[in-house]
Amino acid sequence: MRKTGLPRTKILGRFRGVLAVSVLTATSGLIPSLHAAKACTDHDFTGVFGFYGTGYVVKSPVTILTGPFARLGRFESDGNGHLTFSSTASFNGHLIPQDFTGTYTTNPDCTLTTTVYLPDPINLPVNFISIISDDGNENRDLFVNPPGVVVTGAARKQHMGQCSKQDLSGAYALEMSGAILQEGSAGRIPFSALARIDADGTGNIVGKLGSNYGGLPVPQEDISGTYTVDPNCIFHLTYYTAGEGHGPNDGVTLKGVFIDAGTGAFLMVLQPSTATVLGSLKLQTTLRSNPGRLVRPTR
Amino acid sequence: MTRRKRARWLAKVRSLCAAQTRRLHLSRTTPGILKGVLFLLVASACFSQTLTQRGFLETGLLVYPQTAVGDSGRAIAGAILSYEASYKLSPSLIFSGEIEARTDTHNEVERDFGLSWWDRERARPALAIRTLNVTYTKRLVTLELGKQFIRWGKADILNPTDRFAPRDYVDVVSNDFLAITAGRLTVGDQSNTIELVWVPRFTPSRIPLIGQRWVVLPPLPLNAHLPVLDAKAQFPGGPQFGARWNHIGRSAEFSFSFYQGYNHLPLVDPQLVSRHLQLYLQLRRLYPDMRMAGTDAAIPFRWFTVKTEAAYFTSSNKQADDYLIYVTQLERQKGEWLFVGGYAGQYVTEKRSVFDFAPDRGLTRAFLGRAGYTIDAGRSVALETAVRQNGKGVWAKLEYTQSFREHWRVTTGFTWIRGEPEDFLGQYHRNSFASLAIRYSF
Repeated sequence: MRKTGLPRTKILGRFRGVLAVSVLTATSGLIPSLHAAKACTDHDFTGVFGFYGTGYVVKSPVTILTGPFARLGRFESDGNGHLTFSSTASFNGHLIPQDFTGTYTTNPDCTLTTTVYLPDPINLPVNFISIISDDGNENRDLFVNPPGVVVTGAARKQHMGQCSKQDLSGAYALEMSGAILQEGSAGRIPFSALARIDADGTGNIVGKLGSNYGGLPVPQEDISGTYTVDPNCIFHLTYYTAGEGHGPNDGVTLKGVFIDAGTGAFLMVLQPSTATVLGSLKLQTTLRSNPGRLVRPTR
Repeated sequence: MTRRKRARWLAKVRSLCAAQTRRLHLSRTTPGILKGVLFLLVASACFSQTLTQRGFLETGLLVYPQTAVGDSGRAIAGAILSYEASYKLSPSLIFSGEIEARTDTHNEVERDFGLSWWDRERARPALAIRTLNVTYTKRLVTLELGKQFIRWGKADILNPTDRFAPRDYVDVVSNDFLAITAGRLTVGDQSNTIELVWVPRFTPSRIPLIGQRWVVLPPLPLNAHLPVLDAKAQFPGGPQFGARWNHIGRSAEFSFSFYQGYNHLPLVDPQLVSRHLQLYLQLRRLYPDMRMAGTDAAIPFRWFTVKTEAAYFTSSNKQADDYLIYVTQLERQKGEWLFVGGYAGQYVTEKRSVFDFAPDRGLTRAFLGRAGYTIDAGRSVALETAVRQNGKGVWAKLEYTQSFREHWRVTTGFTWIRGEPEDFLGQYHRNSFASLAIRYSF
């Protein structure tokens, strides 16, 4: 079930903090320094997040992994400096599921330094710097060590408990971009797509997809497909364009992770595996398609 | 067919074939068409005193000196086995048919051995009923029903009024006619003939195969090269109809013809489609409706014969052109020599098409010629050519034929094609080829 907001005690605590700052600034005339009034702690980076990373591995201990990179998954921060990740990475078209742990340190200016220990086949500790934003609901990341990797990423809080197919229902905007291997072309070509899909909450989707392959636009095509949702709020969605077969090599399979109380999701293409494509899903109008549903998560 | 009926039918056939010991086995799943063919063949064999039959086995080889885009094959071998029989049941009633089996090394022939009747397969069928018809003649009336060849027009090389004659254009310049399933009623004497044709189901021309050297793809933006998907063709429903009046006078022979139906040559609708994050060029064949009014004439003079033919085509389809095609040629027979030379023109009154496959129109705005020489009873040589008036496309074919003994015939030749890529003939400039065919007739 989806949580509908932050705990009452936390809201009251924030209110008290704002009130105290207001009183202090009103009495001492320190308005210009208001924006720096709150100092972050590890506790400000707490919860379950959906995340993605994208970029390019210029140099890797494993040569075949050099090339376009993407990663998608979820992680949990315990608020005490410990992180637990579950993800799928695409290294140069090689899909590798990777679960790992890490640590973080929060600076008073709400930036983080993070160290995670990447498992096989990388087997290296790597470092990020991150910035907490949106009241702790989002952080933006930059890979900083070791050299040879150009990767950025983002994470957004899920605000969800256990998930089911009903958490993917309504009309969504689906956006994808990245690079694909196209038959007849030398090397990868840029790819982007935009679709409007309707999910019925029971595992089926229909929609219209427009896409662009290396500068050649494809007008809107009808798509249809199915999806499954895991209790940990990871879902898999497969769609087929009209006229396409439904064999094992047909269709496009996306892995998604819910964010923002289910009003959005980060996406990554799993099939065809040679694609390095990330995307997002955004609910169009929650109230119209699901009257009893939350529009935005409570901050 | 029930078991009882089948047993009765077989008994009848077997009684007719008492002299023959071969047994005929037909299962319940044997297609009706095949039963008809077998009946015709068996019945024909049983009444050999009124049967004419013939056939041939031909093996051929095409050698292309150059590779082409998307097709690196340079040699194609093939074989055709054909059997043709005609049975005269009475002076006014004749059954005839031809069955053909073929194979090749380049997938121009289907690998599935299903029996083809309608010739709608993308590739050439491995086993096909080429013709199967019955002809009834009574005084001035001839009625022909079934799968048959119908040819209109008087010119050589290009016949714009020949609307009931789809062709196999898999190799474009080495094309062969396809029979259509039709009813044809001919009424007339030696000087005036009226011909009415009704075709219940459309037979398309067979066009070059995707992935092979004779196919030409529409140009794509950014000079992209994409894998091609062959979408199912949209075959038109509904019948086709044609009428022709032919007059043979003292000084000339001429005819007027009308056709209402569909173009057996397709418009091609190219679309970019995506499949599993791959971009494809999808080609869909459309066969637009067509109305034709045509005329042809042959006027003999002392030194030569003038043959001319013209047809005007219109269509209600928004992608099909309205146009006029005309051919004028001079023909002269001198001893063992035959010379034909002329010009084919085209005038487009309404340009609407974007991309099509139209070898008939591709041979217009061109000078056409043919020269043949019969060396002796067993040997001949022929040269055919088409040269576009703008010089951007040339096609020439030189062929030599020699017969050996009673049954053998060898044909060898060379087809030479040159020109610019934007020209219909010129676009095949890498497809010049040498050919060799050995035929055993029986």
